[in-house]
Amino acid sequence: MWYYEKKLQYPVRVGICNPKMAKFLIEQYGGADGELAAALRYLNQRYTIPGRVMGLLNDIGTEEFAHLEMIATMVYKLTKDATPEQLKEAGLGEHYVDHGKSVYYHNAAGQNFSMGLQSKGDPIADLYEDIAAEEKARSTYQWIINISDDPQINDSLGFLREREIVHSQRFREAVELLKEEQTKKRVF
Amino acid sequence: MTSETLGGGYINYSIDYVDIRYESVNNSIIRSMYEHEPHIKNDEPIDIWKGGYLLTTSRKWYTPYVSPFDPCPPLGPISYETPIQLYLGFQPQGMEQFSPFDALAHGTLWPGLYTPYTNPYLSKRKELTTNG
Amino acid sequence: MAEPTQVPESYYSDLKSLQAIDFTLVELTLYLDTHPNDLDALKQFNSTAKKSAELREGFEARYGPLRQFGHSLSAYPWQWKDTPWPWQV
Ligand SMILES: [Fe+2]
Repeated sequence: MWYYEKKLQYPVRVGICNPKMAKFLIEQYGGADGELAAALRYLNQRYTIPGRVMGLLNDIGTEEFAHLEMIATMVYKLTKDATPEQLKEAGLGEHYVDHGKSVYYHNAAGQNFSMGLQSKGDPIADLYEDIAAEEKARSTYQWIINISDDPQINDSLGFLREREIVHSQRFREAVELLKEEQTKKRVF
Repeated sequence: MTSETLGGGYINYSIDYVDIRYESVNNSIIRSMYEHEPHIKNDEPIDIWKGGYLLTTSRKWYTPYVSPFDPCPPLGPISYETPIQLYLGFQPQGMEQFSPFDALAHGTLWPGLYTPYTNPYLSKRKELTTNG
Repeated sequence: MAEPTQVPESYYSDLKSLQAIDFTLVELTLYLDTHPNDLDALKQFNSTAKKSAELREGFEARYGPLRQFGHSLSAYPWQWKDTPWPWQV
């Protein structure tokens, strides 16, 4: 089971009242390579992966939920004091009509979160998929940083981007562990 | 950090960018446990080192073909990122660590895993203004 | 209508201390998942976990419970449900 902890993993500060940023950030909330997709994919894959890397999938999957919460916090803060008129201007008019100010699992283009998650049941295929997913999430953060004008949001996004680098590193190590003969001991 | 370890980017941090986010930290437990220095952070792409020599950089550039019939003026060289995890291999034991505060600020506990990022269009613009 | 009271300024820096130490634990956890035989990292993990518990205790005494389902104690009346929540501060 899981326990909630009443704190964010990393401080989230939004410096500029620019609801347009919310529309971009939502990509990492309900987008194909977003944090929800990552969390659900790893937690789903952990059942059918060799025991040596089960723990890693479990733990990275859990951390992704902390990232999801950081993104939601940014979106919430950017929209909570926006008037319907401001939301319309920010390109969030359709969102407002459909969901009000609710945070919602869809991507930047407004497409609902899709359960078409990658999980093949083959350890190597799944881990390579995960490495690719981390690199895709890393690039999404880069694209958002490129169009953001808020240094404080970019600070949090920089943290999240670096986490994708570390996750990718660990998944790469997981592949190495699975390539080894189980009887041999790793020498550093 | 041993000479065998990858990721010497932190060596090149410029000192003109000093992050002041942790100035207000006043927790005595943390203070007594860890020496807290305001960390020095460079947001520019880094050099990646292996075995004591410069291996590569974390940002690469390429220039797309320019046709005389392209509708828009050429944007110039395009960049892509090649962060540290592409080169590190299985992380060696005992790599140098950040203090807890600096680790949080950098998004990783190990300088050798840190690959920063800035908007490449901004640095291009900077280049243009300093050159022109 | 009166706005709910804001957290004191000290909340943010105290929270950051906790976030810093807990982040070290996240990093060590993922590292140990692929480096289970690194004894130094393991020792560091255990001692950092103790530090974190110490720090959390102090934080909770000042600002209320952090952990759900009985992993933090509550003063009277029930504090867990109190605002602000992390996404509000
Ligand atoms: Fe990730």
